[in-house]
Amino acid sequence: VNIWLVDLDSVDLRLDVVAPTELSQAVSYRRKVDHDHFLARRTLVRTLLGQVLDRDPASLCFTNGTNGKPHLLDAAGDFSVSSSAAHALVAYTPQGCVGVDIERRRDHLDIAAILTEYFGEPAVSDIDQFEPNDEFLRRWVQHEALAKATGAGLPFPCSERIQNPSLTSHILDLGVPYIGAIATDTILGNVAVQRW
Amino acid sequence: MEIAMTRDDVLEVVQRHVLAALDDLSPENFDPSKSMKDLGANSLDIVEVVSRSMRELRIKVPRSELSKLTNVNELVDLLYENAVATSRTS
Repeated sequence: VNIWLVDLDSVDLRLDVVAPTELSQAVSYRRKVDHDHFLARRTLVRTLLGQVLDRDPASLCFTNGTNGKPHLLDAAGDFSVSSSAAHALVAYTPQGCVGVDIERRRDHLDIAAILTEYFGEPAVSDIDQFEPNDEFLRRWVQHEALAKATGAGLPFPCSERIQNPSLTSHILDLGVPYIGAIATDTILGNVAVQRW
Repeated sequence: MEIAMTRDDVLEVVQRHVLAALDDLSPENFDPSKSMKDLGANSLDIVEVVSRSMRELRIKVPRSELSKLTNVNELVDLLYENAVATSRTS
């Protein structure tokens, strides 16, 4: 499995490799920074996948699965992309499935509201176990990575062993201020994140 | 007598939580016809905005209904409908 961590602000936009549909999608973003980061992600995904697949980045075609997970249409393997603030995490595996998630650490996160209002009504002890924020974010990115790997929504908090015994998730060492995770059904050796 | 909540009240709640979640989104750039992603939110931002809005409005909306939404206006409509329904039953 290849894993890359990329500073989106350092990506040279390649409008020649981005598809017309992706260019029109970029226009929907309200802020210029989101517009630029979207195009940087599309440039990045096409460039990185083009490298590992030995393909022209512009020739790659994608399709979305039933829950919106993007897949390569005419090439082998599975990939996943996640971004938070100005950084993106990208993973590719030639076989099996993969999902990644990245979150920037934040000072203010209303964990109680999220767990109580969005995910049901956990006991107070369940909320306490997620303090401080880092522990919540570690669980969150693992959950999101698993959900992306399967292409399906999963209950939160979840146990990957229960949801899918063939999937495992790992926290990635991305350095401050980010927390990331990868989930895959491929056996991982040393999990090395390449800076691109 | 309790004053009835309007859709604009719900929009104000959602807008406040969106602006709180997205530090650098200015009020002028808040366009409810856009999706939260188009406004710059990621999945955790979206969940936090929805959670805080539901808590402030004292309503519960099933996740299955939330997952169908495509823009902020649809979220406001859904929250408003639930707020009205909740006030009728309480």
